[in-house]
Amino acid sequence: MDILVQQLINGLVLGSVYALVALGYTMVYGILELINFAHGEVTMFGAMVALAVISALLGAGVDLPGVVIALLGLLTAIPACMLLGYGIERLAYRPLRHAPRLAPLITAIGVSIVLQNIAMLIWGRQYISFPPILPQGYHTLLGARITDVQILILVASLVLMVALTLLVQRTQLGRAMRATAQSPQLAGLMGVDANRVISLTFIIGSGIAAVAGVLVSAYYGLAHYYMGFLLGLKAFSAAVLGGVGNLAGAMLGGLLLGVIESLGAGYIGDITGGFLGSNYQDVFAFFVLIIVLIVRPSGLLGKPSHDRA
Amino acid sequence: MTARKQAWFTFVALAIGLALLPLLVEAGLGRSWVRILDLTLLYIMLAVGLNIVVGYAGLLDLGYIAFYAVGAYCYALLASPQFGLHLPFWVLLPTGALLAGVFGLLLGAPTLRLRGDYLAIVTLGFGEIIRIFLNNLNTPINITNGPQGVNLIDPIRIAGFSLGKTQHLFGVTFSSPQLYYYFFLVLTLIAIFVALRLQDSRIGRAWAAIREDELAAQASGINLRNTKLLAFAMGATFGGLAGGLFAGFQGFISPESFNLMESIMILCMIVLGGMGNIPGVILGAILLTVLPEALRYVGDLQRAWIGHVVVDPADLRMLLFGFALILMMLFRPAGLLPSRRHLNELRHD
Amino acid sequence: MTELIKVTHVSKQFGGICALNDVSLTVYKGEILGLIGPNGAGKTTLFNILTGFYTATSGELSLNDVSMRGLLAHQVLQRGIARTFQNIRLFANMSVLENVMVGRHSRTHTGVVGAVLRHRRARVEEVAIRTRAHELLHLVGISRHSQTLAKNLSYGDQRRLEIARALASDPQVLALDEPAAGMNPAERDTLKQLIRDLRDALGLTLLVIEHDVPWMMSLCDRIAVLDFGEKIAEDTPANIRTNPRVISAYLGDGA
Repeated sequence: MDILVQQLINGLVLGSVYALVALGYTMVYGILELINFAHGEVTMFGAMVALAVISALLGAGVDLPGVVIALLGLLTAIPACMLLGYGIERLAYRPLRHAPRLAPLITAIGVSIVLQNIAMLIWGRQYISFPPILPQGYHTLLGARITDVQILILVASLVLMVALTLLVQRTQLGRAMRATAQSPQLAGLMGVDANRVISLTFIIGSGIAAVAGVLVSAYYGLAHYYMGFLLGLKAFSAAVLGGVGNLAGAMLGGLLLGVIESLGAGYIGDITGGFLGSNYQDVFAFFVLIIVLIVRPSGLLGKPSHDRA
Repeated sequence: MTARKQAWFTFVALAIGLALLPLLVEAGLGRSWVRILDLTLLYIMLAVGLNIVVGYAGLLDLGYIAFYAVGAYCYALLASPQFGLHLPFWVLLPTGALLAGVFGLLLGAPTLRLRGDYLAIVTLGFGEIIRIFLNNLNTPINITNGPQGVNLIDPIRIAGFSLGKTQHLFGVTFSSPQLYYYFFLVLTLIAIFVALRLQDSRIGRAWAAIREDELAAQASGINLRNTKLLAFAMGATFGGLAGGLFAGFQGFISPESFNLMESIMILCMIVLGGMGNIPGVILGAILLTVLPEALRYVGDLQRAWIGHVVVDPADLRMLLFGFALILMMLFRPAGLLPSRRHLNELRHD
Repeated sequence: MTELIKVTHVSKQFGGICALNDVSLTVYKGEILGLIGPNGAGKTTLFNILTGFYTATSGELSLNDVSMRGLLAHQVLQRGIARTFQNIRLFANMSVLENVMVGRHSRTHTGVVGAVLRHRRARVEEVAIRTRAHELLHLVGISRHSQTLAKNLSYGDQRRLEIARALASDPQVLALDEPAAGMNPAERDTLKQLIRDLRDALGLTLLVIEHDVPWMMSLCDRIAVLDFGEKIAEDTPANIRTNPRVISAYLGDGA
């Protein structure tokens, strides 16, 4: 097996999930200039809800193909997360839109903690495993192995990214979103209902997060009430890497971060002469974040910001 | 003059109260509650330190506990069988505090010129990174002893007088938690004093100015980067100091004591009490250290009424903290005891 | 007359848009120089470059023949150019007195040690800051509000407070961005007198941006006119009034 190709494949798969979550951060940041800390938790809820539905269906002995059961889980998770995202914005962020900057940041943390702990109360502290209902086969590609689940993740992510790009570029709603991101007041004068656009942004981002949550739990075969935290942190780093507020940037940043992490974890042992091992995988995102912030705070695809007064 | 007399009276009453507190608590509630008092003092110190960063300068630091960890591990590694070193506490505490301050500078320098929300996420990540390193730096060279943590840490010993065991002084017997209480109380009061003095000074005004309006602060001649860095490093130093005390007090530390939830809890203390206002911050720290203890009774209640524990009160703790953060920001953003800068001014003139 | 500030061939571009194009300007010591021009002419951009909030894309700036290129805002203040903002920027939740005390930051030195120990030098400095702040509040006429929170001041008084805060840094040059905006005619007259007093009492040089042209004509010693990022005139008010380019570009539309 070719290790380099294998790490690249793994990185791209993981990265496409990061990209999906990063889209949610970047859309909200683009419009509200707010880091929605709770976004990682929305992703976690997506995984948890889907798993609850899947295990309920399996427990009831429903005789359907595994893929259909998984799809039913996903189709429940998406509206559930959309509702959650909508609710978060309405209850926790909207009332603070004109408050000092620190206030919505602190509520965002609060929401994140609350969601985590609610999930813990509902689903417990233990890891929940993803039942083996998806195809378990694999293919060989350039000497490396790619599983059916990995292909599924790549395809699903790609479809979502294309769909979102079309939505933002080609539809009335997309235009309204871009206008609101430029200037909420001006967009308002032009007849755009900023509140509606913001709500929809949260709803769309949360729907995508639901898919990402299901995909990532299918990939690792696990879900956990705490999984949203690190996933969120990494996805945010990905968004910054690509350029916060920039959709293409979030996608690129996500894929790149996945690859960096995968290659880093694979080779860190060799690089440091065995001093640091693959258990440091989770620190790469953070170092990428710091380096981007130092070298190019506007990210790869972001425009350098103007000095202002 | 009567006002002055009254102030003196309050002061003396408070001093006597604080001095007798551990004796009364141990007699009435038991020794474990004296330990809770000790921890409360450490949390007050932490909250006062984080308040410099968040409350004074308006910089959201979500990884504050990392500095606490730096101080604690610095003490633990230099005063335990881990490396066979047993340095005295008056070397350890300043070293830990200083090291934490240096970490603060290293982290702040690249990020403080960016917008505040980036700082929040970077500090959040930093807190996790420190924990990951503490957890994993046991191979191939065993530095931190990994998830098992460091054990048998020397108790704080002042000129041969150990706070780690029962001592007899002036015909009174003091338990170890009581001795720690007095030591921590002195240091906490110093920390509060320092924080108050800083607030009401040229530096404190510069911090407040940055918090209020960065551009106007620059136009008033304030060097944004240096002034923010100073706040960040000062806060980190307080954290490092408290961390060292914690290590000596507990005798055992592990990475699990320094997780994100601890950072959030300290933030919660500040937000609940009143950002920027020292009495508020102290109140917040007391409430949030004592309330979780009271939550234990929720477990007992469940056992009495339902027969078994449905919801583990420990699980409720963080949920309540989360709600507290949200509700405070929505309905009482200034906290339970809001700061009153302008009233302070009146006192001077 | 001594040349104090020299702006030579300064341009500023934002992305593709040219906000200032090859502007040169001299400010003489002790004068009141007005800057007028239609909205978007680049007046505030020039202010922002002069005070270190923007970096010029090209060109040179100097104060007393010392280059100021690349200085940050707080360094510019240190050198002696203080400013106010078009959309008033005060420390809203600090008292009026504290706002001015912050303005003294660049001329004082107490650090952490001094703040904590309050040794003699720190105490003396603190008293001096406070005294100076009270003097300045008195000078701009809002000393009775010294304990009010800045956000609770009336609009006109907020503008005065901003001036007092700027003055606290003992500047050589005071740059006022639309100081009369939102004031009634009586307040404008008082402000005009205040600006003249500042020049005479403190030996200040003043740069003023304002839309009220008649008011500017009666206040300023000289006036520079900007239009679409270019300087089209720099002359005495009397000559500006009759300058054909100014009339066609600016005064022509009924001002």
